[in-house]
Formats: sequence, structure tokens, C-alpha cells
Amino acid sequence: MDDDELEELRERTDRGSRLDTAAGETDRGAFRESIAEHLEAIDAGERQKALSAWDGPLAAFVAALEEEEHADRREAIVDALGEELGVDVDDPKKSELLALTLRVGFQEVAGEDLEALREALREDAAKGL
Amino acid sequence: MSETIRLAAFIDKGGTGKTTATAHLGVALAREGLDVLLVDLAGKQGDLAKTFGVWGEYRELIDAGDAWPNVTTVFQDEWAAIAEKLGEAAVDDLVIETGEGVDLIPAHPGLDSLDADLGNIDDAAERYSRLETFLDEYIDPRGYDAVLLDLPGLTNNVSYSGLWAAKHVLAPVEMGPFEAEQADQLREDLTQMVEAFDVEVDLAMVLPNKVDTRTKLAEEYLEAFREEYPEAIAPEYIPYSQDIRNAVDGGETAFALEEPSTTAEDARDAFEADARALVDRLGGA
Ligand SMILES: Nc1ncnc2c1ncn2[C@@H]1O[C@H](COP(=O)(O)OP(=O)(O)OP(=O)(O)O)[C@@H](O)[C@H]1O
Ligand SMILES: [Mg+2]
Repeated sequence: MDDDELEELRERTDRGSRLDTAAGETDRGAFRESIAEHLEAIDAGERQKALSAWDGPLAAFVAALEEEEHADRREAIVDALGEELGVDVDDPKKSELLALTLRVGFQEVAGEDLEALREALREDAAKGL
Repeated sequence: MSETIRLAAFIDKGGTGKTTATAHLGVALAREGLDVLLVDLAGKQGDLAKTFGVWGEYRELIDAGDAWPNVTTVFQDEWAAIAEKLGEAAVDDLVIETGEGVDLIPAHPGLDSLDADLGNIDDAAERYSRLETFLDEYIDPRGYDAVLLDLPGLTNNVSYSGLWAAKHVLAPVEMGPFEAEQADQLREDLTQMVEAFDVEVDLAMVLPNKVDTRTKLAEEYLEAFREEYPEAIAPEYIPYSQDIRNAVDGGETAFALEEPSTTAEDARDAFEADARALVDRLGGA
């Protein structure tokens, strides 16, 4: 490629070069493997399924949402979360509500990383066949 | 055969068998004597190339910075200028040969940003027609009999470009309660596309995949699909076959297996029958 003009065309059109993406992809492989290991530990009962967070104001916010009086508000939020994730959720428990919210959050800022979870789950499911 | 037939594997859902069907139908068509090109637009994982065991090699090219031009380049404003400079080599560089008689334009990491780039083009026709122009001007003259596009399992600018270019859709579906909805959604989307842009995109084949007829439910779903899509339904469904999965994981299609299991043989026969039906339906023969 000794032609200057061609080199310029190349620079303008060459997207997603090796540095950002190739490294990202191998990383994702390693990340997926780590997830898979934790999934196995969870399956084997060696790791607990619960997540916890230490946040007073948020705990108050969620507690208020849980009150029957605010069911409409809760449902609107749940619908919005479900829509964001493309799933149907009906009257979820507190734990599900939190899990959905986390998922939406992760998806928003780390969709790629969440994809590694999906892949790990897919592989895990395939193992049982 | 004079006209190049085009088909895009698409449904707004992951994992139903778009890539598997593209690869197997492509090989089935090649076994019928057609010159076949497969194009992977389904994302940077390079699944289609993996199916033919050629991704590792292409990956090395990408890592070495030598995979240019590539599938994303043909969408760029500069493509015509590049093609003029490089001449025949422009397209030669895009295409790799597989060991199974089909040619392939593999995926590229740039597909990610391509989707966003296309999003910046305001005019819809201009945004979605670039791939079509490329196929019309650079691929069809090469004399391919069939060009099959593997699209992402989601609706974005890249998949729309694929639908726009192919005009005929292959929708692999699994037998489950949500699949029918997904297929209906697809039919609606296609109708909308026709109305919004005045381009005729038709559902050429609904292909039931991973069918396990040992379960009664699968039979029922199959029947429901036959009723719902009397014209588009594939003549033969593809059975669930662990052998397909293993073959693909090992970098080949089920057609390359030397000692196929019964289900793998059934799947091969089904792909062959469906490939012939496609040629009939798309008027290629
Ligand atoms: N008939 C079949 N029998 C068994 N396994 C199959 C069959 N068809 C596809 N598979 C397996 O199912 C998985 C998903 O298939 P494939 O990758 O073709 O789907 P896809 O629609 O292209 O997915 P994506 O949306 O992620 O691109 C793969 O592991 C593939 O090997
Ligand atoms: Mg795929």
C-alpha cells in the first residue's frame, strides 16, 4: 500500500482496529470464564445467590415503593424496566425488582460485559444437553 | 442461471439458528452446483467464519491490521474510490474461500461502530441502501448464483441494510411459545418497511429449527407454524442434532461429517430440500 491517496482512504475507513477490539474480545473470554466458574460454584451451593447493597436512602426509596399505596408507581417502574430488557414482568417481588434494575444499569453502561454473562449461561445450559 | 439470488437470515432474536442455517443452506446450494457467497454481518464474533473453521486465520489478519478492506468498508462513502484504486483486488481482498465450496466475506470488529456510523446518515434510503449498491455493482458481476447474508439477531441499521439489500428473508425459528410472536413481529416489520420505504421485502422462508419431534409440544408448534405461514414455511424442518452443534463447534458444517448420525443426516437432507425450495421460490433456477 504505497499509494498516499489509498493510505488516506484506508485511514478514513478503517474501523475498530486491533488494539481496542481484539484485546477487548480476549478479555471478554476470560471474563466469561470467570463468570462460568462462579456459576458452577453457585450451582454446587458453594456461593450464595444473594446480592446485597449498603445504602440507606435507596433502602428507604425501595421500601416506599413496596407499599401497597404506591403500587401504581411500582408497576410503572417495573414496566419500564421490562420494556428496556424486552421481557414481560408481572408483579415482581422485591428481589426481582432490584435484579431487573441492576440488569438495566449494567446493560446501560456495560452491555458488552453483560453479554459475557449471557454467553456463559448459554454454554452452561448447553453442557446439560 | 443468470440472476443472482439473495437471501438474508434474520429474526429479531438470538440463537435460533441464523448462522447455522446460512452456512448449511449455503453448502447445500453449492452441492447443487451453485456458486455461493456468504456474507457475515452478524457481529464481530465472526460466527460464520468459525462455522467453517476459518476465523482463526482471519482473526490473525485483523490483529495484524491487515484486514482492510473488509465487510465494513463497503458501507463507507469512500468505497467507490477505494474500489477504483484497488481494482479487482478490492473485492478479492474481502472474500475468503472455505473448505466446503462456498466463498465467504467474514465479519469484522468494525461492524460495531458501523451501526452507529450508519445511524448518522439522516436519509433512510441512503442509510440502508449502501449494501445493496455494493452487491449490485461489485458482487453480482462476479457471477455468483446465490448470496446469503447472515444478520444480527436484533433490529439495527446493519440488519436493516441486509434486509434492504436481500429483499428476501429466511427466518429460522425454534419451536416455542414466544417464537410465533417473534415471527409475527418480523412479518409486521417487513410490512412496515414496505410501507415506509416502498421497498418490497418478503418472508421467503420460515425455517423451523432444532425441532425435537419426540415432544408432543414441538409437533403442535410445528403445526401452528404451518397454518400461520402456509406459503413461507420450509418444506422440511431441521431436527435438533447434537452433531450439528459439535460439527459447528469443530469448524465445519454437518455436510463435512464423515460419519454423520441419523439426526445429522436428516438435518442435511432437510437443508438440501429447503435449499432447492429456496431456488424455486426466488426464481433462480
Ligand atoms: N438444528 C440444530 N441442532 C442442534 N443445535 C443447533 C441447531 N441449529 C443451531 N444449533 C446450535 O444452536 C446455537 C445457536 O445457533 P446459531 O449460532 O446458528 O444461532 P443464531 O441465530 O445465528 O444466533 P445469534 O443470534 O447469536 O447470531 C449454536 O450453538 C448452534 O450450534
Ligand atoms: Mg448468528
